[in-house]
Amino acid sequence: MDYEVELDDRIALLLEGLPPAAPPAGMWRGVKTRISPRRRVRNALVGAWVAAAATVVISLLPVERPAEAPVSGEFVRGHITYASQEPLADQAALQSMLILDEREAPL
Amino acid sequence: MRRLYLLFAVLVLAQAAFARLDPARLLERARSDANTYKATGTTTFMRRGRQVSVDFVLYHKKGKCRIEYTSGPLAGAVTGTCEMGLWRFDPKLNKLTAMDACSSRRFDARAELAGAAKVVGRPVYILAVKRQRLWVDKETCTILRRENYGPRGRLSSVTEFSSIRYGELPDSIFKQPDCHSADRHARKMSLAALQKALGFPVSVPRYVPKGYKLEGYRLYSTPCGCRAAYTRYDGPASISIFEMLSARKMPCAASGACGQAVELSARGRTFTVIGDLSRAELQKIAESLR
Repeated sequence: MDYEVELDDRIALLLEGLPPAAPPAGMWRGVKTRISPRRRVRNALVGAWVAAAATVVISLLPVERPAEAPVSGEFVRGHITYASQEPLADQAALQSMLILDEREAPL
Repeated sequence: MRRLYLLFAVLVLAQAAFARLDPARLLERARSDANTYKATGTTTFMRRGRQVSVDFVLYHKKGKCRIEYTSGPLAGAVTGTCEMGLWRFDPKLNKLTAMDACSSRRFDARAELAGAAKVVGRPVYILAVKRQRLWVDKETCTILRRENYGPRGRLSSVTEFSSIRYGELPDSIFKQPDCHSADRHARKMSLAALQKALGFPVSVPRYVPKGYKLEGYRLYSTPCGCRAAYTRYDGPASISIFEMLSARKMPCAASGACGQAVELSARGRTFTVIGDLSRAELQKIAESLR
């Protein structure tokens, strides 16, 4: 521990003797722009745009979605049966559809 | 020259007669067809993207009808209507289904004369009604051909007679089969009786489109033993509202002949609204049941 403190002191003494040096060209500008408030706003805007674009792309992907709540075929048949009693209803066609429907999906 | 004048006079008279023809009156006569006849015909419709054609024999008497399917996938199936209601028998499933009759039959369709033609050798007027074109016999007002269109204007089915013979028919033809063994899906009853039978208060929609009136309440029983409240409204078409406890799950099946339907769950119930209306309108009715 004492050795580490001694080493630090020696380095400090060495640095005191050196003239101040300028940072490499462009370094300070890069740091300045990174910490400036305007840059932060621009970064936030870019981030928002990227997030929005990602949302749009994800929503357009062919993802398997849950189907709408199924409507009971039995109820639909009931509705059609009564509808076939309405004035001018095409009974021959509607009853055909109902019989075929019952055969294909008996409940 | 005299013949030319005569021809001109005949044409003027014919045009005047055509102009005086009241399509609404013609439609009313066609609707309440009081003729007795036996006809053969074919009905063609689209089902799951393919065309299905079925031949039939139709017996008709005022207020009664019997249709026997004679060809295609439905050969042997029979359906009929009488004062009690509607029934159908499918020999393939050995199943007899009966439904009680609708009490109110409101009828306020508008008709336009769309031309004249001939069907089975008989002169007819062509009437354009909402989503239908009807070929109405000029002499007897029997509908000899009809085209039905879907909500988007696409042809959904065509039914046409290939022969017709007017004359007496025995009442025995229209006799309803023994319906004791029938699957009776719906029984009409008062709202109070329905609520008592189901054990829960039946919801009444706060919104129903203009022109629709309550036709009645029914207890709707399904072959799987589920029971629901069936509220029916009559108007330009019809609206069916089914309500059942959400816990009672019913087996569901896709239907090829269904119109628009909306299903919604709220307050432990499932509401199913079906009708010939836009989806938004059906949704509005369903929301008003919450």
